[in-house]
Amino acid sequence: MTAPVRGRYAAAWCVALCLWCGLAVDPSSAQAQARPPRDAAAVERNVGTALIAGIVQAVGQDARPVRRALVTLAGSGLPHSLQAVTDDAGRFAFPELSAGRYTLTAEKPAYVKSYYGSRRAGRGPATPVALGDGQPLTGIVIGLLRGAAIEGTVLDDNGVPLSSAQVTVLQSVMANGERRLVNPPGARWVTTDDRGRYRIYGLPPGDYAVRASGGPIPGSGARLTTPAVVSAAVGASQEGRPDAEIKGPAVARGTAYFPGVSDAAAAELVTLGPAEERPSIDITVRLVRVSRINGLAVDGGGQPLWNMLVGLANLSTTSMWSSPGAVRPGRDGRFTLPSMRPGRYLFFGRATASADTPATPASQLPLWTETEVVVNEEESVDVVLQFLPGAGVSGRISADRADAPLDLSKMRLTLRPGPTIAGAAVGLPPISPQADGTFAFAGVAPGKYRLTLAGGDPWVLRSAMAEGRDVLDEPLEVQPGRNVPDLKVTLTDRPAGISGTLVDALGRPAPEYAIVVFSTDRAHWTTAPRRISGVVKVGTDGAFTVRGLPPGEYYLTALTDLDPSQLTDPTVLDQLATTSLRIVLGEGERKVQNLKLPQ
Amino acid sequence: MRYRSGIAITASLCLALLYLAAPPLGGRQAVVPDAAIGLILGRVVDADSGAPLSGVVITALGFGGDSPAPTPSAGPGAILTDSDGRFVVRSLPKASYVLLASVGGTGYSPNGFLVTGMGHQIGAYLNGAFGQARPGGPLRTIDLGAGQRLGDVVIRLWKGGAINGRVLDEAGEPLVGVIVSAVSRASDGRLFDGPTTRTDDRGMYRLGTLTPGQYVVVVPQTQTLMPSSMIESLLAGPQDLAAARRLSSAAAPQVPEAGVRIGGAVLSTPAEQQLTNSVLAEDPATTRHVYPTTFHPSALGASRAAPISLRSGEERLDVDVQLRPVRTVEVSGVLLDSDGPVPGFGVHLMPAESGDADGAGLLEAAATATDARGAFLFPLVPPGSYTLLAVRIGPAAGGRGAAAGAPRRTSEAPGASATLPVAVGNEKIDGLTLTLRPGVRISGRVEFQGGGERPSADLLQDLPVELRRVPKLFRLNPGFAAGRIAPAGEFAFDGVSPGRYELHVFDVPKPGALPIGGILERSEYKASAFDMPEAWSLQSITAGGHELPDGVLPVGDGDVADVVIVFTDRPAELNGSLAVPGTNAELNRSVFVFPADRARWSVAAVSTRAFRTARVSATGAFGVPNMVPGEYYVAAAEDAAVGNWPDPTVLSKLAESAITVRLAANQKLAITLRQVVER
Repeated sequence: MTAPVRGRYAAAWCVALCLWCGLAVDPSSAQAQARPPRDAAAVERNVGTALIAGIVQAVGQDARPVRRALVTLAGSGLPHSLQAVTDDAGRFAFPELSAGRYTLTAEKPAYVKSYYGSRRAGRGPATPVALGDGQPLTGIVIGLLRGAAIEGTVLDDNGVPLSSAQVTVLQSVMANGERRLVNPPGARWVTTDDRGRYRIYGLPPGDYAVRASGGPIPGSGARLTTPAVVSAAVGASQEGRPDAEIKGPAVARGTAYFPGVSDAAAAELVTLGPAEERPSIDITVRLVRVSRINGLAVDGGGQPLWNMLVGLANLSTTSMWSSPGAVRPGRDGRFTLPSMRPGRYLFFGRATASADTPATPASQLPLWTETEVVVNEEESVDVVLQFLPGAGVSGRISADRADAPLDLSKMRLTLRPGPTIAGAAVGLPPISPQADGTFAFAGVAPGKYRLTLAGGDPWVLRSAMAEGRDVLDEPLEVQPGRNVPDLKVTLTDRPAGISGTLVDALGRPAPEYAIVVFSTDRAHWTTAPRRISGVVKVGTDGAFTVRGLPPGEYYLTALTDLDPSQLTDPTVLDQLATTSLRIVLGEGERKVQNLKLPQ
Repeated sequence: MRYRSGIAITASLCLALLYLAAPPLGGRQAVVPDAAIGLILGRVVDADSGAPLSGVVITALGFGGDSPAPTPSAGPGAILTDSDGRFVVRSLPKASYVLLASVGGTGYSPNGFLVTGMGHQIGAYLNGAFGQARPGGPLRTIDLGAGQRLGDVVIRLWKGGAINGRVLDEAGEPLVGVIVSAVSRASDGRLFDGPTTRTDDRGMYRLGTLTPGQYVVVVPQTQTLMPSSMIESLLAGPQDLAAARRLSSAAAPQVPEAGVRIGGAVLSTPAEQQLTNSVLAEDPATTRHVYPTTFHPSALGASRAAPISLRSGEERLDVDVQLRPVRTVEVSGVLLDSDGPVPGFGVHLMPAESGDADGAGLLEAAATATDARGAFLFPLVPPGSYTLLAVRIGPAAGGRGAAAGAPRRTSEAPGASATLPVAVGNEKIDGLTLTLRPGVRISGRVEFQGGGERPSADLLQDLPVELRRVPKLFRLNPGFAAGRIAPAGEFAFDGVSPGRYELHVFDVPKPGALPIGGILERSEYKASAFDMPEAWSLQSITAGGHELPDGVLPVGDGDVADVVIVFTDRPAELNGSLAVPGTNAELNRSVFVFPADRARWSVAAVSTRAFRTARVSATGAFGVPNMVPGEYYVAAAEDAAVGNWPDPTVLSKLAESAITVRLAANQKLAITLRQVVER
């Protein structure tokens, strides 16, 4: 969740976060992210003679054609996606295509984006369309569902409409067996107008929490005028009494979920049906007292530290409060955060006792901290950030066969911290292995990590063994002060995979289905995402391909409708397992498995 | 307590002064005994109903006086009014104070203010300040004595106006997510940037918190284009930041995130502004249609728009805009400089009608970049009169290995520019030639006439001299250069492209005249120098010995080498009294001073030096310090009678009862006014 709930901090926050990314991730991958997306418009392509054409029509009773919808075509033979706009009869056409497999999406403002072949509005994946050489494939029908809308007024403590407040909707979904609030597809935040009103539209059906925050108080807060303040001032100014010098408490606008609760878990959910209009979702945002945090950063021996990259996460709202770099102590290790709303916060980051500004900061900041502090409307709160040395994780990287030389120069290994709150973790920069294949991470904070490889193509991680366990299948657990000295990383250029066709009882392709492949070992379900395929749509020709699986025993199942996020839910996988086929994938095996649906 | 008269800082000007933010020239440490600490107790009320307003943020700005050093532990300095609208500002040392009141926030949101109007307020009331007698009217400072306690300060706030309506297409279907802007229009037709918003899923929009005045509502349609060959080459290789910088320095559009190919160009279709709202489905025949920039109700030019006059608190409904597709033709050509075709340079298509308007940027019809052969293509141009414009707005980044040195060709020279008028009809236009010429050099010196101590070299260095293009060049790049003054007083601007500019200078402040930092929540509100004691004030700006009224400098093809900016430590001043019966304070009478030369009225909105107001005190006295010499009209009026100062209609009305004065350099002129314009 990155909804910029912090009002005027949002802009600075983003900038800081970008800087951090630049420091902490592989430069090549950062560049890849910064490039325009792949659907970035016209480029030269192989011109063929096949055609995909069809109509976009409204989902619902009248099924009218939708004019001026934007249809996007992506797929084989297209370096970039193509776009077309429907005419007054809702028609679109992509001529001059070569043979291949294509996916289609349709969108229009106020409608929910549609993935051709997907059963649910706003959610992919789309069904691949198989197109033969020179084939004119017409008659594609893409349904477009008008989005639902929520509107209402944001009010302050006195019931006065609050203009310029920020409002966002969060969708309630099941993940890992529990309800969570996530950004819905196409999510955005809006600002209330001069009457305190807002409207958010284009939403897919679902359960939503509505969150409002901000408002007209400067970021550093304001002092509230209380009766005591007024009566002292009246006494001093009109009755000539000595001034009691009373100041009101420092306050700021809080964050509230509909109908006016600060705790996300207590938010009342708004259930939206297709294209539903829901008025009067009014939210009360109260003033909260803000506190000053007086901090001190020290090393294990109590010596002050100031050279650091430290950020803050708000554990109460599970959101980032400020990104690393926001906490800047003086040379005496002391720092002040003047205006903190109530909540449970986590300071996280790295530091060094050295005065040099390091060229690659994170790797040369060997000390780490994770310090919690609770802010509860006091005037000020004291916190000491103690930084401790991290552990070393080292080992060697090699190929699974001796006859193939590895080009280690472009490879980058990263230890990614396990589940984190809003990215709040003491991150480590990627490292390059040495020419002899050895590598070493230094200053690793305690916690659970996952190992990833970038720049290895065609080589992928096969195993990473530490103390007899494969850390690719269960996270690497780093204990305080305990090194991991012998991590044995093996790469392969022959990952296993499954492909085949799915047909119905009459032998016809079954493109309304999708394939899911997942490990038969329940222990892998929560720890080894590499052993669970995504939701792989079957093409219009019935063909499917699942790539990049490690060897092992798997369940393979075909289903018509599944939210990909549910694949992290063991109860869902348990259910799927009962209707699955068991298959065994050998080392580097490319299994062909054709499937037929029962009558 | 004494209300200082003759304050010319309006609330909107205070906002403008955000740009003047400069670090204080050294904070003074002063130990102030408790008895010397004053307070202000007050209320904020609705100006019309008198109802108390809660949740208003009050900020006190102090000037002069004893300035205690700010203490970090003091916490926030802004005050929030209680449910009875009351506020108390404490710990105030002796000084002059301005009390600002604001409701709501400044707008920055994905559904608003994307195009212009960044920082436009969204609130139930217009921002205001103590002493205003009309929305946006002159405010008053409070001179607080040592230990003085005020208990009856009332701040009145006015509601803004609001315009509501729908944007529909030719079939009467709502257009969703399109930009709508309320462009403020002066009575002489000039347009000024206004706030923007987007229509919702019903095609509805609302533009609120509008200062009373006249507006036109526009749905701007700006095509952002890029040659497809350029996108291909940019996407083919690794990301090239240098190439992106080269493009932006030549005012070329950003490489689109997504787009559709039309002929040899790609039209950007950012997610929020779908192609579906701008270009119609391609006719399989030869013509394509687009929606042109359209004004309420469905006019294709600002001059044919139906203007909307808004009063405070007025709600206008059904201000709909209907868009109708128009046939387009292709317009293409080549951009050249002395060395031949110029690749990767921005070319802009501006409507001719917007020529003299600040709204020109908003109304820009299309922007693209030249391809590798220097060719540009606008595939979808509606009929009309346009100006093609190419201009370098940033330094040409040196090529590989090339140090930032002398430009290798004209297109790399600072301020290189080209313009060409184009009349587009029903036929395709090709073979146009735009030729870049280098920018010119504007240079001069600063002189100090008087016996006072000249500003130090350090102070000169910090004193901004700015060249501002009038009207603004582009929406996001107004055309602005800041110069530095060398120790001997010289300054220069290199690479200035032809056009009309305003040379903007600031008076040299006395250190004590700076705001008191510790008291200010928003210390960025630096008070205007105009009515504060100045060490040196502007006396004149000349070029080639000729006076430049309001600092407006027309720049042509040649260098301008002899600009002289004269400061004086004995500025001219206008004082006097109003000899008309009536309670001056209750009637909120003010004196208005403005140039007698009507030709200068069209720059009224930018020249804050020559257009001045001063409040008439209870005894009838007024004073306008720091005047630039010249011939002026002086008129007295009740604030409520003035309205949209300094709009030319207002100036005409005031001129009828004004007296004419000629103010010489260093002259302190005393006059008596015997007439007042009543409500």
